[in-house]
Amino acid sequence: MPARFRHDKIPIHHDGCGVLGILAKSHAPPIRSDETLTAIECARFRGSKFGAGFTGFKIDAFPEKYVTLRTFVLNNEAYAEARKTLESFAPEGLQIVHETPPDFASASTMATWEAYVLADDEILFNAAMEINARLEADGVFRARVYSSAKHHVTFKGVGYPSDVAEEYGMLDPALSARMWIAHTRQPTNSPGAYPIWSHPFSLMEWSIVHNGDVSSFGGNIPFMRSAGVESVVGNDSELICCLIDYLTRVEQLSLPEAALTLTSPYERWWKRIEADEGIDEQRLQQLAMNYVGSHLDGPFAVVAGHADDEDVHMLGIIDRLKFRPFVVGEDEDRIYLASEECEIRVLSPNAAVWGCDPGRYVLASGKEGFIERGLAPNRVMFEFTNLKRPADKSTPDAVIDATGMEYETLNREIRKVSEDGAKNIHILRVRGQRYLAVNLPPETHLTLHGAPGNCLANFNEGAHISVWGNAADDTADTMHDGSITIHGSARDVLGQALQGGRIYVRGDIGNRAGILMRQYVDRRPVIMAGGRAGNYLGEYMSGGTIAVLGLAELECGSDAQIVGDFVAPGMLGGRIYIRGKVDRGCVGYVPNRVDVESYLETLQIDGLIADGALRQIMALPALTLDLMEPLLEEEAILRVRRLYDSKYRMPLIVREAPLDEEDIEVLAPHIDRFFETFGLEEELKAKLLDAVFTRVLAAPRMALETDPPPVIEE
Amino acid sequence: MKKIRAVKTINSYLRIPTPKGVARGEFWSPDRIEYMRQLSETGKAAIRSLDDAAQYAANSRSLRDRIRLSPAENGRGERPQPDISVQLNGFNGTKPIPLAAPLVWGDMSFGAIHAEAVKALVRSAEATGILSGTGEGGLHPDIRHLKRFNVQWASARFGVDLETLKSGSAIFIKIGQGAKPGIGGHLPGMKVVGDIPSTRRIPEGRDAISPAPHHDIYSIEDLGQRIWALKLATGQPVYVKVAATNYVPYVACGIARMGGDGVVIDGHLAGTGATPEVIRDNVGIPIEIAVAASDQMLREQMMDGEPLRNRVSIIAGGGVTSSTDMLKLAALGADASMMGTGPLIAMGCVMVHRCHTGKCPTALATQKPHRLLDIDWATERCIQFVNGLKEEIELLLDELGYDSMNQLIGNRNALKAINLNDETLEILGLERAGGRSAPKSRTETDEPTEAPDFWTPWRINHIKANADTGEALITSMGSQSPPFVEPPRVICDWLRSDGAQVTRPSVDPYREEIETSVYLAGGKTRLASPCFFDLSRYDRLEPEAHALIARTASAVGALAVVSMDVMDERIARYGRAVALDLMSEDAPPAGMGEQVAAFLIEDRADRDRLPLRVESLKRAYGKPVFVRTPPIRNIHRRVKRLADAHVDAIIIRDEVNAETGEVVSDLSSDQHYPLEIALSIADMAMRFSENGETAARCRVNLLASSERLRGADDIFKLIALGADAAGIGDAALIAAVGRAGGDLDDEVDFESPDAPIRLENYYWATQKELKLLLGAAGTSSVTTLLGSRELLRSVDLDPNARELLDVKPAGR
Repeated sequence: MPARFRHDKIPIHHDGCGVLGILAKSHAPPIRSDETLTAIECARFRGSKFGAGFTGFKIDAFPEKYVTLRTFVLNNEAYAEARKTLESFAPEGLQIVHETPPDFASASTMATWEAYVLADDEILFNAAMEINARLEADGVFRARVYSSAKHHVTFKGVGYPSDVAEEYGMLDPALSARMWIAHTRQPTNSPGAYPIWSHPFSLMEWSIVHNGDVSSFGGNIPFMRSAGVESVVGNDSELICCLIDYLTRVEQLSLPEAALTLTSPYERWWKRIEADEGIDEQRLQQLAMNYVGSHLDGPFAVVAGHADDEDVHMLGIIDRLKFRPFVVGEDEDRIYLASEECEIRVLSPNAAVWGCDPGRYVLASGKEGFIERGLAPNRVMFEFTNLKRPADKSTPDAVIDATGMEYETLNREIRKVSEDGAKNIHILRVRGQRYLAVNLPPETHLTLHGAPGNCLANFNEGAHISVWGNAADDTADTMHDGSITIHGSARDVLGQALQGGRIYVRGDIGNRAGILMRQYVDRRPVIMAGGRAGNYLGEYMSGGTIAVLGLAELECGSDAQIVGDFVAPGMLGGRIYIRGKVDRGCVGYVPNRVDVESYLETLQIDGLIADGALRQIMALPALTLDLMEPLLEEEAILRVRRLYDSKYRMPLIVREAPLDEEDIEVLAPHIDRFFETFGLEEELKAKLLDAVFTRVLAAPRMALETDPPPVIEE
Repeated sequence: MKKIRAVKTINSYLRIPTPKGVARGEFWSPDRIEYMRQLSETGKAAIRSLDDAAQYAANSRSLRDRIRLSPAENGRGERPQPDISVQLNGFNGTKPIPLAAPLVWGDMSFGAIHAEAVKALVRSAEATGILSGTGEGGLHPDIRHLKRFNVQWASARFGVDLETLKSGSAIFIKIGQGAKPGIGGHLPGMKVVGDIPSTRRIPEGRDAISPAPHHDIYSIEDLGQRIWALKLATGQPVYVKVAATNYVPYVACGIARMGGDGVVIDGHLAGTGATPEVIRDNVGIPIEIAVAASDQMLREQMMDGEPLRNRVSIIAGGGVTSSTDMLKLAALGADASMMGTGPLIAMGCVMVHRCHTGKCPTALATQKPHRLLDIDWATERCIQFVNGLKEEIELLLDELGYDSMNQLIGNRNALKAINLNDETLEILGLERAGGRSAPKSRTETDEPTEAPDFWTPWRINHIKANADTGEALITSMGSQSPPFVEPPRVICDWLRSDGAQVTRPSVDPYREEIETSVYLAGGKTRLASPCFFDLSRYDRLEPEAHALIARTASAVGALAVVSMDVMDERIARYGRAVALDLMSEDAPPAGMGEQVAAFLIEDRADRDRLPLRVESLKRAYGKPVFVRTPPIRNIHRRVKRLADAHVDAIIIRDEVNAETGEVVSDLSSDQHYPLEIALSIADMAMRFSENGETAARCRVNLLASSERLRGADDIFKLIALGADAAGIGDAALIAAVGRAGGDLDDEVDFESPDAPIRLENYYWATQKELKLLLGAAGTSSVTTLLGSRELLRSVDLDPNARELLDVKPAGR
């Protein structure tokens, strides 16, 4: 039997992290390394001192004539062996033009050996793989090629981003490049501190940074091994880099196809992708089938960069379950990808910033700008920075300038002024600080200008918080009372387990908004969004009200759907209002259409469904029970229901209609207040109140089982 | 008129029901329960010496019972009574928690158990100086003023607000639990009554299934964020409770780095009020390995010049029954043990596995009003139970030769293994009793047990329950699971699946999309779930059974392999889901080839003609051609030959002795490998191409089929070992259609009106159980599970077999 690789010897290294990518549009000046450092340092809390790195693409100071092979080597012996291995490829046409030997004196662990070479792609790939494989034994790495490109250079090491930037002398003078990607690493286990585990991971002309821990790792490994990657450091990010390189360079997939292979969108999304992105269903099926082993699963947010003689490309991919934070930004000169908005805002206070939709990808190039924005094509963009907004009329009794403050300092300052009696506190220039207002007394008014970080107003029990900007992830988790007013948009998991108070968002709300929301006694929590909502809206919801208004679409008369997929899965109670129509296949649990069709066709063979009825059903836009049942006989209904019903799900009642009296009673007071808070026009309000809404309610609960307990011998 | 029943007060022990029929392997045996009752009634030690301890552990397969306590070199001497108190550390500036004994009560929620039981637990903790927990059900108002409990912060946030979080001694963030790693808490609807809906703030009468992951904790830095949010808001110490899974040492290190004050590791055998049986029995690694590996990695990893171990306490739970278990876990690295089932038994639990039905006869795990636990009696039993354990620990520590518990914690010298293989010993950091020269452990319990008892009553009942309801089977408490309780029967029984936590989230299998569909034969065949029915050449089934199974395959989107000798018009109506086994023929009879979905041929004699047969079938019908082969020892050469013949899929099927009907492919055979091993080897062999061509595995599907395939757990493991899909033989289908009783030889009526419904139910329930396993492992698609051996771990499996499978051992 083959003895070529062993799964049981693969090391595993788990990371958490912060990522960044900045691309300069072709008309714009290049990006400096010190700017990149400033931005990634904003995500310092995501990382640690255990690793950081940068890749610059088309750096001014580095000629793009030769391939630079950069290799970490442990000692002189390893250097000699690695060099000998590289030289052994001379007969195949690999030529070493020039080299810089490793400087062990100034390196703390491994030193970098640079070799400038001329070689064909395949020879170069084989040489790099051979060095990696030959100088690794049982998880000990004596040498590791970490960059092998003509058009980019990777700088990575152990430390915070600032340490690495200093180590490589990237700041004085600053390096200028057409694109940078950067990373700060949070390892769960760091066996000694070697730079080989740091990001970016680079192979040939690709370089990537990643935040996440893919669950498909074990299945990706054999795929890459059969593609010639013998030695791995055990980091999933390295593997993703190999996969991208393989799919694009060897399999010659286009960038969109490679992106869709890696992210492997749900089968039920293929139709949508065919419509939106022009890759047909059959091709998607081929990608899903032919490249089994290259699909990623579990959490990932990847920024990948590629450069060639012609152009520079930046690709961002995100897992379909939306488990990692990932925002996209754009201004006049640049395109950004980042874990947190503050990384973008620190460089570009007025950039447009939005969240990438799960299952989509972001693709941009220097020459073409955005090719894919990570959004539905018909999306009407909401942007806080372009907004005509009401003046902040409140007068503070304490003002704090948050510039340069870490979150601990800022929270301490807020607590101090609050304890001194301040009831109306303003914070200026907030830049990603976390946990703001987690312990504020009730009836305190806190106004934040800027971009607050994650976990804003968790456990809130009555404070009133206004954000003049966008809010980040996990805002208002387990809030019991008070209010949150966000003049921009909110990112993912807004109002998780919200059980009192109200959240008004002028713009969009991200994925998993209002999940686990509930009501009790007289508490009736409310989330109202003026823009649109992402996937999993109101998941597990058991009380309260969510309203998504889509005002921008309403104003311009667009009939685009204003929520993502998977609305109200596992909903037990409460009310969801979505203005406009919603594809019924997106609401609640709807089995895969192919499976329902197989079942119906079999019932037809059984003689339980008439041919005509089957044809009518097949023509339905979505195969939901309420649409199908009028067309079926009773026996068939009972059978088909079993595909939909579960003991663990309540059936949902979905209605598309103008608001009725009861709806008005629930919504009108909040709509009035919402319009007043955000200074919106009465005309729009009238239009809104006349609009069609999709209302989602959970069906009344089933009767309780009341059978007697078993008789037990006593 | 409503019948009013008198309230019965429970203030004495009920008789322990004896298991019916064939020995029903249950970890919590009547002997164990009797021992715990003795402690609880007397408050005195029952295990008084190391000999007693050894005897207590005899005849058990759990790892800790295959390890003995071993006295220190200086042995017993004149010394004062050992100090058995320990301290849970409050490293990051938070207050430490002193414990009078190395023991905490497991977290059981108000809801899962009755209010009286919750109160008795906290009161007994208060009286004995240990710690209790609230579980995820919020804080009962009657205990709010007490101190010796932790408050749980779980994924559904039931009943938590700032005041609650600031109560008690600590906050436990519950990420996972041993009885259901990767799955959320589950409170059945009939228990969501009375005060419970208002305490949890959920609708009355509905199953409360907490999200599988915390939706704010998808990574290690996210966990850090939650730890600090809670610390900033409350000032309390924050512990993180996780299940014992593949990456638990990394998770423990992550918790330490992120500022957690303690790591609570809950292993298999831990109790629960409700869990899917398939999860309880297949996910997670033994607590012994989890604790030892975590302790070791925490000692090796440094932060600011200090081992991470100094920053966190370790609490270990999962089937802790006695003082002996507590001492063993301590020596493996735990600062304290966690007992949940223990105090329930002290309060009268008789282990009838009915918590999930709400019909507990002992008034513990119920919310029905007609039985009421006597709280003073229950409190006293728990107190005496702790007192008995304390005395036992003192006696054993003394005999072992230690002055205090602290000397024992992490001290592997205090343990010697008696029946574990070398690999397991190395992971645990233990020596073998009798020294190096002692014989390597192989006992009869380490060999696969062959039929006739392959189909145990509990496996058959599982299938029947699936067929009854179409849902995953829910159970509660205890375990019969191999390899810890029941002896393992096939290789799959030594394999454990992963529960994703902290480094990555699990995927919610009840409410989020998990894809189980697979495409075979270049997209020509789609299976709704990665399994098919393999019936060909099983003459146990009547023709009408074949017709019904083909019909089921058509309805649920599967495939049924049917042999030509039974093929008829009834079956042909559902031909779109039939793979026709051509047996010795080269081509199907006229007209039949058009009606079926695929062809199957056997790779036996005249192998030289095989490529020709494949080619002519493909040309004539344009349909996929599958080839079946037994799991022969040179499978790696055979699959390459078959791939070169351009077959669409290769089915490896267990080899059955034609005369006895017994499966002959096992570890002792010199002609065959066990199915799992042959599959894993075949998958890897097909991934390599000699001359730079695309690997054969990219165009040829690999399927594994066995008469012994029992359900979703086997399917999951076979896919992780390299199969695209798994074939279910006739045995499971007979079990599904047959109604009562646990015997496969019963007459089964495939023509009864509910037979089609039962078969559909079985398929769908299996699909749901597969989704549970996939979600728990953090995967949202069956295609990314394919060949992912990293998601499996073996437990004390023969190292040669393990290497052939290419699976890591648990703890690595």
